[in-house]
Amino acid sequence: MMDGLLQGFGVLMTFQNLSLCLIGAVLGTLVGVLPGLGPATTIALLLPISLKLDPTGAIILLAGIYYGVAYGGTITSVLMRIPGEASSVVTCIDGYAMARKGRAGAALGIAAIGSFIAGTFGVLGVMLLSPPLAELVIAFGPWEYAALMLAGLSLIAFFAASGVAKAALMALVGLFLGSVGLDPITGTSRFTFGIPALVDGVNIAPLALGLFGLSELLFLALSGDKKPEILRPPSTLLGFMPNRTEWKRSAMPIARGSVLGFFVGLLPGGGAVLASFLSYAVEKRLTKYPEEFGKGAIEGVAGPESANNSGTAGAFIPLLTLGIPSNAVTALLLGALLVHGVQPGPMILERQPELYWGVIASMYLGNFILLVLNLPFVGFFVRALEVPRRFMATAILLVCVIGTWSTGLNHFDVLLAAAFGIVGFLLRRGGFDLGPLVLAYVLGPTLERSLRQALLISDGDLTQVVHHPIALGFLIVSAAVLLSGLVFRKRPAVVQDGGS
Amino acid sequence: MNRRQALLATGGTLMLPSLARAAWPEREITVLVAYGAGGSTDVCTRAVAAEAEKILNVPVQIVNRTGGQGTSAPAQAATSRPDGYTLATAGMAALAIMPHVLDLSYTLDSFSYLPGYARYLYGIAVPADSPFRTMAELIDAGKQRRLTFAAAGAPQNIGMFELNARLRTRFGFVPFPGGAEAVTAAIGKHVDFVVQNPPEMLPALQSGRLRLLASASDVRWKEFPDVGTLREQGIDLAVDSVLGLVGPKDIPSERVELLSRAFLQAAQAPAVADTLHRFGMIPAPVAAADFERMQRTAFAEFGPHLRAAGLARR
Repeated sequence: MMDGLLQGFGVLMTFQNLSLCLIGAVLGTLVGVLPGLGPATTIALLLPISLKLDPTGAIILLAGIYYGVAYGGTITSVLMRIPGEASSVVTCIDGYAMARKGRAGAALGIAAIGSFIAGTFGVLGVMLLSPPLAELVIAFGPWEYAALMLAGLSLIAFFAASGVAKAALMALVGLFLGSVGLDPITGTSRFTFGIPALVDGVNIAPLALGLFGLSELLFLALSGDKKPEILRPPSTLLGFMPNRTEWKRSAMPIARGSVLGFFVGLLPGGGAVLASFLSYAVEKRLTKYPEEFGKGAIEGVAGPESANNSGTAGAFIPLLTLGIPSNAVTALLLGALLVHGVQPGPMILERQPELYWGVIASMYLGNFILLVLNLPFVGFFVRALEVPRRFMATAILLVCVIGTWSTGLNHFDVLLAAAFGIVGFLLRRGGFDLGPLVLAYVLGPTLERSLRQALLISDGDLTQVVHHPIALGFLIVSAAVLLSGLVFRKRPAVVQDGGS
Repeated sequence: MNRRQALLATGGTLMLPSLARAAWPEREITVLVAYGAGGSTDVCTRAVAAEAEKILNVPVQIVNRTGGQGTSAPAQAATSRPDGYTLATAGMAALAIMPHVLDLSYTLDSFSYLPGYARYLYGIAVPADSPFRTMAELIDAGKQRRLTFAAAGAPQNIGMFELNARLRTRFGFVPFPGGAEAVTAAIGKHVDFVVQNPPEMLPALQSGRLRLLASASDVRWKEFPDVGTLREQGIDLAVDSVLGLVGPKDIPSERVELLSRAFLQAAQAPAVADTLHRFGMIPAPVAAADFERMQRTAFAEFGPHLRAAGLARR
């Protein structure tokens, strides 16, 4: 193994491969900052260029973009409440609240450091655990996915700051939005109202940018002239960094997020998004300061941001060992490998060790580059909050519209984002929590498809689930989560009353 | 575009010399690819386009117009100006299947047909420790009890429906969003077998996690020369899907002919064959008229099967 890694660094230490790693990481960060222009689009654009490179160089470049995005997606989430990526949606909640309290630097700093730790942990996991974890991926069939998604949905019990009824209502809306488009089994269209743009469903970009970004714009317009607090410009380069308490509170969330994200990221289908929500819910449940969640708890940034980064690393395991892409981005990477005549799969380690280890080595280096790159810029990004509000609002509007437009290249998505902006504004004013909506929207389609596949396999017999221990385990977890969420919900409120 | 038209309208005579000099096509041709960049359809079309450029002497640019299960690209081409500058990729899915399933803005009569250039290859495989060692055993078992198979969709599922109708087997179709997911479900023994293409199946076949029972196409897989086709194993069926190009109807016939010649020649280039093989496809230079006939025949044949399986729109 050490030999392999050394060989990998040997492969990496050419001018070409080092520059590709750097370019990939930088591009990835930029792409992450710009909502809408997701990693899949960027990699697709760069694919023809990568054909001119050797396969190792091509994958180093494309992989750099992929994990770089997970770093960059945080910045707009924290500063403007615009999720750069779907997996950064949850960061908007507490990251932006921190920025309003003058702790934007701490939020961005902890996100970058958490991402680095989680990313490195993820690569270690890929290196050490690939073969056994590949078996885990295979063990997941329709029953297991359906139960996992149900467990994910039960997390809404923890988002229920606004009350269980409201959270459940939002989850139903999310499930409905997720069901727009083609029926996953028969392929017939549902709720599309003859609009071609809806055939492939409601896109995540108009949904997330509208609900979070544009709705915030309306709040800004109503809130008078109150500016967000900004810390005094720091005397040192790293002066914006988290303070001692924030560090202490973030350590465990980063560790838990890293492990959680890695395992969830392994599984095909929405890994990183689920991982970030899962981590948020876990931290909210375990924290000593539940009353701060939603109002700027650093755990709510540290955990999810770590989880989505180790998730991106985890997704490499099925790709490299089984040749199975677990999301749209790794599917493109698979395509890139095939174009170069490389067949990913169990044989890759024997046939192309230089490629396998070169990519692993580049991921270590890439994560380090991203850390070095991101930390000094934290101060720079935080200054963006000093921009007068009328300019800031214009920038948010511009970013949201361009982001929405660039994902699908159609007007309808922009209109949809505007509608979601108004809906999001009204819901938030009405005290509704948008987390359950997005969570249900992301998990719903997989839940539906898996459940219906499972029923096709069992010929409609729901009791067959007893033959699937993993699925049963998830069902028990969901029941436990729902119960504990409902039973223990009152406690924090009491503490809060006593404290304040 | 509009300015050019205006020029043509107002000062047509001024344009004449240049028109006479430059034979058609005068500018770049756009091919709308129905699937995302990096996928097999995209890469293979890019390979053909690169060859066609050399023949037509104008750039042939690729625009990925994904969505609508592969119908967005042909739908856009159908409504574009019929000048031969906008084409789209279309295969079985867009032409023979989806018109039965979705309410589309086009019919098979909305197009000018150009040549086909690639054939998808299909195979039937079982998990390594499955009791079925031959196609005959699989079919016998399928007559006794219900077996399930994973596939990403049509036309593989239709092939199996046809077996069900002819041989009284009970093969239950479990759809997966992509070939990789379908193959994974078979490796994990969540289904009894899988019908998919080589790119997703090869890693599992080569590492011994899956066993290939038959090539479901008309030819054997070059990686598994010992495994016969369905026909060779006494089952008169081949799952066939040809990928080709279409443009809007009413493109002047001399332009259709010129494009057809160019793309048919491009499809025969050795570089194209190389790329196709890497993505588990086979070169299929099919003349425009044959490509159109294939799609129309398939459209007619698939209708009853899709309706019987409850997959057609009502």
